[in-house]
Amino acid sequence: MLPAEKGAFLARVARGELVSLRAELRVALYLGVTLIAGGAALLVKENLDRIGPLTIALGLGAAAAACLAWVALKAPRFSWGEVPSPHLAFDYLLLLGALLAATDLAYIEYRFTPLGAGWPWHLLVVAVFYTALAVRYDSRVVWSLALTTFAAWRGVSVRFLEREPWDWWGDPTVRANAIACGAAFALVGWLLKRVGRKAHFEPVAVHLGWLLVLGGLADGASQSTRLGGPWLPFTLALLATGAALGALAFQLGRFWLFAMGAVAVYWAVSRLAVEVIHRDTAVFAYFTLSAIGFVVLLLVAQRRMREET
Amino acid sequence: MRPDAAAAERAQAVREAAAAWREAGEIDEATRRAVDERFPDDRVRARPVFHLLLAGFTVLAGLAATGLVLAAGRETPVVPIVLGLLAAVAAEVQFGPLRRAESGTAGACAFLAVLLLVVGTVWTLNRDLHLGPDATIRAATALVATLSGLVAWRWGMRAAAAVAAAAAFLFLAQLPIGRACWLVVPLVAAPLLHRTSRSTRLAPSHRTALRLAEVVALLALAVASNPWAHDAGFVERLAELPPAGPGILRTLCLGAFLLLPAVTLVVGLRGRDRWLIWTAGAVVAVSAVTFRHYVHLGPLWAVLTCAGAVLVVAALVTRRVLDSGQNKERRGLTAEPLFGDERKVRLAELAVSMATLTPEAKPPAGEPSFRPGGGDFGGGGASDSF
Repeated sequence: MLPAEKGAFLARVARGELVSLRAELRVALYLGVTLIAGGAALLVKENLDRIGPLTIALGLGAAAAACLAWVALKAPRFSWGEVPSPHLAFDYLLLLGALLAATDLAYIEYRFTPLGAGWPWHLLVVAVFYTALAVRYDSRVVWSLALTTFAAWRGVSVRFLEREPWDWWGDPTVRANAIACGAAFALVGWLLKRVGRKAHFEPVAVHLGWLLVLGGLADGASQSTRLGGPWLPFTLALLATGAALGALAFQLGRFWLFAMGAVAVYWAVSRLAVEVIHRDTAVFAYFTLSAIGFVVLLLVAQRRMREET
Repeated sequence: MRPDAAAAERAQAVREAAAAWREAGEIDEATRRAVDERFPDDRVRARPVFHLLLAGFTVLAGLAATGLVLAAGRETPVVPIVLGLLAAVAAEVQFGPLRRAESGTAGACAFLAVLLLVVGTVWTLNRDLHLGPDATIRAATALVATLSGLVAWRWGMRAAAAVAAAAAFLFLAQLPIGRACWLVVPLVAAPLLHRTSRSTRLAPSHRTALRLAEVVALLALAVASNPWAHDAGFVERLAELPPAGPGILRTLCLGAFLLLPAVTLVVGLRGRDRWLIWTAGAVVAVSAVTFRHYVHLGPLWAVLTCAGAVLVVAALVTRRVLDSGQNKERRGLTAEPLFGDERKVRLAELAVSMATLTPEAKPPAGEPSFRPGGGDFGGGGASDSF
């Protein structure tokens, strides 16, 4: 079935006689870079008065410049397609340079306040800077940071783990911004794929985009009892959007997007159900039957998607 | 495990390897198809996302059904026991005649079976035998360990083995000689599990299950031998016992604490064992944090920066050393990518970066706080780090 030489090589790998430490080295580099960036942030925080603002700004700038200069020297020619990393450390020094530069910019803004009351605009500057780096050096991690930094500029935090699930954004303006940012990201992702420029950035933009759209709608749908907000329109919008996304993803064979749409639909339907059901037994009966029904629907959808892809 | 399920697992392992070879361009599509035809898969498997969804909604349905029966006025431990047995039968039918391996629903039924049987049994022991809290915890941990072990053995659920091992160590912690057990049992069990897991007579899932149990045992040893955990009485607190205090045991712990990371790493590298290499990495990280707790090396920022620099340099030196070997490999280790290793790391990097390196968002209009600075771990932008 296989040529002898290739077969011998593959058999060595399969038997565990040849093992790649590539993933372990990448993890070590990633952890190293985040520790250095964290140490730099802590250095600035703890020594604001002692070191002096100019030293800090120049030190951070020099470190960032050194990292980015190495990246610029090593980088292959620009391409709109996917470009393999020229060096194991390439992606990580790029990330470190980007983080240090952004920290430096934030520090300068904090210490010297060039933007004054308009200080959040520096987040937009950072987002644009990250985007430029991501496109030029073909980094999906920096691209994801560009998107989340843009969202942060609009007041939308994607640090979901630090927040309670029912209090992601709370503020109506932030929620609206989350939905708008999400729609914009999904659109950008679609455009990237359509024009064939950095098309491999599309999954990050589209998944983050839909997560923000559905999260914003779900956040609005969850507000009623606490804030007395208009939960019903949000719930109906969540239902419609989730159904549309699920249908679209089903046609395109995008499994994760289909899952996001399906969960959104279940969330919306359950939100409506618990609003009208009050007895404990009825609530338990609803979740029992609806979950079983949902499992059956998922099994059917999975089979159909498998047949069509 | 049923022989047909074990055979299906072996075939699936070959198919997965062929798919990875195809993705890496090592074989052509015709060869991959030929492999698939020679090793047919007769199981129903779900894609990861469907696996998650199906498992989640099956568990939701099972728990809601239990709540429904209990809320309907039948508040008796017989309810979870009966429903747990039904879940076990459902799992057996799905893993067996229905051939639903890695489908989400079967695994969820197995999980429900363990959960409901443990709840029902503990409820019975509490109500009828009036066991105190200590005995109840012992019974619960012993039952979880036994049932999870059975689930791992019968249905090849790898994660259940880790749960079983963790529950077993929690049970041991309840004994008066808990810490000694945490020190001695891994020293005996880990090599045994390591050797057994290499047996090709075992099904692939059983081998992985044993590896997971080995990792849990080594982590338990790392915790038990850690001086910080010793002084804080971590193991003793699990049984609400007083800390052990200084003595011969602490000296032994210190010896194990110093040896464990090095031994694990050396054995992992010599055996080209990625499980052990990852475990050694985790143990080294914990040891470094413990060392910093007792020995003040300098300000935290310097320690973080130096640790990061050491990691980066170590990774680059390792890569250079491996690259300088014949065919870019040394002792069967290489820094070159092989078949799909990197994809999961890249995905994890994306998720972790978005969750931790993103700057704090600007506050909504009306909130006066001005909090610029680096993110907690260097993410540029507004946060409270400065």
